[in-house]
Amino acid sequence: MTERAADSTPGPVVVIGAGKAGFETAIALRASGWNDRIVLVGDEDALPYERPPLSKDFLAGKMERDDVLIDGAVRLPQLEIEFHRATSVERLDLESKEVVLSTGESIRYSHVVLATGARPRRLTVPGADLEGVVHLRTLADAEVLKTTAETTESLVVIGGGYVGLEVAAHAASLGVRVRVLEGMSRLLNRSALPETSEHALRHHRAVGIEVNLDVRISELVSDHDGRVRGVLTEDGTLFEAETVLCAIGIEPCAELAERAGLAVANGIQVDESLRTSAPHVWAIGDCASFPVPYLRQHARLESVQNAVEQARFVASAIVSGQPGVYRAVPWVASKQGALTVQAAGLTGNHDSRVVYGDPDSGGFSTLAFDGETLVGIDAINSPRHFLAARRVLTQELNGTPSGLTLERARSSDFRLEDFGRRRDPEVVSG
Amino acid sequence: MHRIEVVEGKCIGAGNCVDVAEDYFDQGDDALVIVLKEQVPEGDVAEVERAVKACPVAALRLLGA
Ligand SMILES: Cc1cc2nc3c(=O)[nH]c(=O)nc-3n(C[C@H](O)[C@H](O)[C@H](O)COP(=O)(O)OP(=O)(O)OC[C@H]3O[C@@H](n4cnc5c(N)ncnc54)[C@H](O)[C@@H]3O)c2cc1C
Ligand code: SF4
Repeated sequence: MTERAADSTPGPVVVIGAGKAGFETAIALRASGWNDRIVLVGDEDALPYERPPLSKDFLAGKMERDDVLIDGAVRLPQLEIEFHRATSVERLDLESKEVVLSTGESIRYSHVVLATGARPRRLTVPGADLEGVVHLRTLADAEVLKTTAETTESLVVIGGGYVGLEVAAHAASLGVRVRVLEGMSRLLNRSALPETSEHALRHHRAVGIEVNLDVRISELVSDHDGRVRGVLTEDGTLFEAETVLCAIGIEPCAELAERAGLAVANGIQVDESLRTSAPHVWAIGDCASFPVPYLRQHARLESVQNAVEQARFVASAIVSGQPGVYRAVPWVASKQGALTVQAAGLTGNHDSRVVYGDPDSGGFSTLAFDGETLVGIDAINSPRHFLAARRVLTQELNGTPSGLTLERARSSDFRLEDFGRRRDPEVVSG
Repeated sequence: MHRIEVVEGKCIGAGNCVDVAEDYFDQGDDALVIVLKEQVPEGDVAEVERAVKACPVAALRLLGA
């Protein structure tokens, strides 16, 4: 029997983790005609939900618990997807092709999809676990943070990344005194271009958020009741706060994979088809480290786009038995009060940048090039720039030159919106 | 006639809908979706349906048959 035929052998597919990636895998499997059992196991006590609103409209009280559920979450029984709620997978046995659940049940699989996501990184300094120190990843976290933000007078956010800045902007809008402490020399250090960081810094300071860069934290200090009272830095400064949000990034949940003997290094390692080092075991979403075309190396991406597109790719690979190569233009958007940043592509390897539009107008973009080729854009309050650049990036990824070169972008009559247009709508509409 | 509905709070500014159906969807400066025309005549239903399906967080619905 050929490998291909073996790959599409029916039998239960077990999806581990019921976040965005896991849920979309289960749905896509059913939608593309997988007739056998689909088992979705999630250790949170909730139906699958969207995380982006947790730092935005849910926090702002504009959405309730039920509103953040992923569309279709309540239809799992109708789709005959067996959903195990508040249940974790304790063991993955590659030899016997079995997963063992926390309920004691064990299930033999034909395929396993690891979609275990990530958890917040924790500070390792003294006081990191004091009462009043919060994190934000789950709906349960968001419920705590929401109540806290409404009652606290002062908040220190440790970490100037997307999640930290979104929460900071929300809290500031409630009248909370907010300070952001960032360990690097700029905000959004990991995810954005320097021009974006610079603009974000000015924006957040202008709305009254205090920001300190290059901060080394030595301790979280408590009052006599054991509640956090402030953050002490290595140079001896004490930033007082009733509440501290620790938002210093996430680490992949890879223990299960590691115990099973799969290759793990900053996430579960997969190949260009999102297959792990074991047959019939796949990994996707925040937990998976895959070969990214733009970076010419393995990386983990943390976005809804990545979770959804990888989920659909793997579902189709399982159903068809023909894996193919996963390729997609990554993008992410972040709404921080009145500031919206949209990023597409990946800029880790860029060697030149071109600023497009006028930063002082509040809306502008920065284009990043690797040689003559566009590799990414950060668009600030400029969705049209973002869309045009994303189309260019998609064309380039598919091997169609777009004509947008570094030289072109530097010319005085350059208009980004002229590129990446869908050609001749009349012709395409057929 | 079909009608487009936006599920509040879900849009993450992907622009996928705009990419597919520019006549029906746009984005504000905050990148959140703006519906340009709510009513969809029969001839455009297929296009708008594709746009609605392209949304990664199901922030859009097409109602009525
Ligand atoms: C506050 C916040 C705001 C965000 N905003 C945006 C945004 O605006 N735009 C954007 O694109 N992205 C945003 N993101 C990121 C995005 O939500 C993630 O990239 C996405 O959720 C990843 O999905 P996932 O399924 O890979 O992982 P997760 O959503 O983490 O899901 C993994 C699930 O698996 C469970 N699990 C782990 N191990 C086991 C086990 N052994 N057994 C059973 N279950 C297990 C976990 O508990 C979890 O429920 C945001 C994230 C957060 C936290
Ligand atoms: S596709 Fe969905 S998330 Fe993207 S802009 Fe349209 S409504 Fe918003």
